[in-house]
Amino acid sequence: MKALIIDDERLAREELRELLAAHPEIEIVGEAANGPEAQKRIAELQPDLLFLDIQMPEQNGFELLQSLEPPVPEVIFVTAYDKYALQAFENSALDYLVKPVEPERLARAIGRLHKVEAATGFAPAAPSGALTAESQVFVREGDRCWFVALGDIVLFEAEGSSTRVFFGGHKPVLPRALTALEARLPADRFFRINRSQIVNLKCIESIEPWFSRSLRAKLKGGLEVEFSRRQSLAFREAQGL
Amino acid sequence: MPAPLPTTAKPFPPDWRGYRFYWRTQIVGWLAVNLFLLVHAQLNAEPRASLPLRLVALGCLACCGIASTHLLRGWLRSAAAVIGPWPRLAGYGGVGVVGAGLLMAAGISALPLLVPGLAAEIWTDRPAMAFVARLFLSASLCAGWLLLYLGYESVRSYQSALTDRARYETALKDAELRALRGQLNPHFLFNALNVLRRLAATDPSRTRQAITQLAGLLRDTLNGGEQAAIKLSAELRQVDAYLQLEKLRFEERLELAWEVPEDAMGRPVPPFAVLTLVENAVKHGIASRIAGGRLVVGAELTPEATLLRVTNSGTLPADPRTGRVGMQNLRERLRLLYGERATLELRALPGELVVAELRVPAEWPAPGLTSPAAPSGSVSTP
Repeated sequence: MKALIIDDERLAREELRELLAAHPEIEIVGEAANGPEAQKRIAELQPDLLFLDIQMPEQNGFELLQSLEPPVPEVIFVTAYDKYALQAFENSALDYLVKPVEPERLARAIGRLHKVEAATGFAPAAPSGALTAESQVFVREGDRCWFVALGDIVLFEAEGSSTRVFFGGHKPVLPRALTALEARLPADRFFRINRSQIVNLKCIESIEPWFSRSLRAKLKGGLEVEFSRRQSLAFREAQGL
Repeated sequence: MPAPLPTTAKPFPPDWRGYRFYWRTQIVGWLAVNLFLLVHAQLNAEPRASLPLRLVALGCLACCGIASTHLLRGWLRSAAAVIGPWPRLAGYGGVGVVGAGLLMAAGISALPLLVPGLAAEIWTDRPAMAFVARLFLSASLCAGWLLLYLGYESVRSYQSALTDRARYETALKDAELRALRGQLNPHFLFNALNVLRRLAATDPSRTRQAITQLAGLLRDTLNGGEQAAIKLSAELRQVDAYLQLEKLRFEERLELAWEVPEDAMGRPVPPFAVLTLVENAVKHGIASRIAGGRLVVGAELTPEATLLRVTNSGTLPADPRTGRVGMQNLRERLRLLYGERATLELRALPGELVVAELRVPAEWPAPGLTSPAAPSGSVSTP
């Protein structure tokens, strides 16, 4: 498993490297001292895992994750003490380590990752840049944040140059344009129903005809959406209706 | 980031209650005095004037009394501090009482101009004698008024000194808490410990030194803050320990310089004052910048004041409220300790620099952290 260490303190990175020596399956492919540097390293090294400090100059750990092109790698947060970050973790059930890191605690976090890997296959990016239903994105709303697999997102809705994503009763904003996302989403799972919405086909509960040969769909979680006339035609064709 | 502590105190609101109390007491008091005089006159003098006429006179005389004593109050407040040194107060008070008495006596003598029916009673055939008697009565009333006023004022200023002292102590407690929770915020503490854990493997002697510095810093913050002021040398020792530890974390991102003249070391400075400025400078000028920056701790002396300057790279935040709890707290402590004589300014300098400038008086505050210097605002209203 390829890992990248992101922390603005050299000694802190060294300390983590040292602790990770006990876990030979984690291959440290690089280090970064700040957000912009990390973005570059992630793009060129394609790590599967980030050890990520929260408090960093100019772009904190959360902001870095939000700025990443999906899919986002697995993340283990490492923080000294940050009340707000800890609150976010507790609200969102994310895994985090506190500095100085206890070796046993690190081992447990890595063990949990192996379980995730066994369950999902853990292959974030296809070389073409296409995403899969398992690819995850990082989203934030207020003091809560989530890693959410694309397959769990019911609906994508354009909102300016960003996209609001609906899943499990939440609807945070992903700072990515809907059109850019559409190009990379697996076409067999997601369908653009009108100019501003993409639905997860697996999350459609029922479809009924609507005015002037358009369609209306009920989605998981009680959302209702309308197809545009053109996309209704395309949908009928694709589904053989 | 430390949680904002409950705000300690807000500036005094304008003292409307005191103002209203003053006027109400003036009106009621003077009406009562004149009513007494009226009853006295009705009973003892031959009834030369009718009752309605006397009632009009009563109103006029009450106004005259209020005006004279109000001028007396103005004279005292402009010429001397109300609760000033006794000999000075007695001098000004005496002059004021005679002046106000003259005014009042003149007012009484002029009364028949307004109420002609009283001419016979007031403009007697021996005007000089009558005026002297009137002056004596008026001056006695003014003297009595003055005693009541001063008594009330001293109780009030004593109470306000008590309140200020309580506020000072609250602010200081907040500072102590912040020193533990804020300046030595957990983020700093755990990062320092994390760095020490790493350093122990590669540089044991530096680690041992750093542990001693951290211990010293912890001890000082646990013990400190009981005095109103400490020697600058003691404060800077703490600042140095703090910066050495931050230097381990930030390495070349933190560039340090000291520009403190040797003869500044004995000057007094409120505990944690420079530490607060430096912590603020590290947070905004080093930690939040990828390239880090330069931090300069400087001092300048004048015979009356010590000027402490902490300069860091960076710009002033657009939102002045961000992370300023420590600074606000310091401001409040300075205000309560020194009144207007200490200043704290934060401003941008050309070349992407921010300087925090603290000016404190060169003399030591009264021993034992007793009452903060006579607050200039406490005698503002009545």
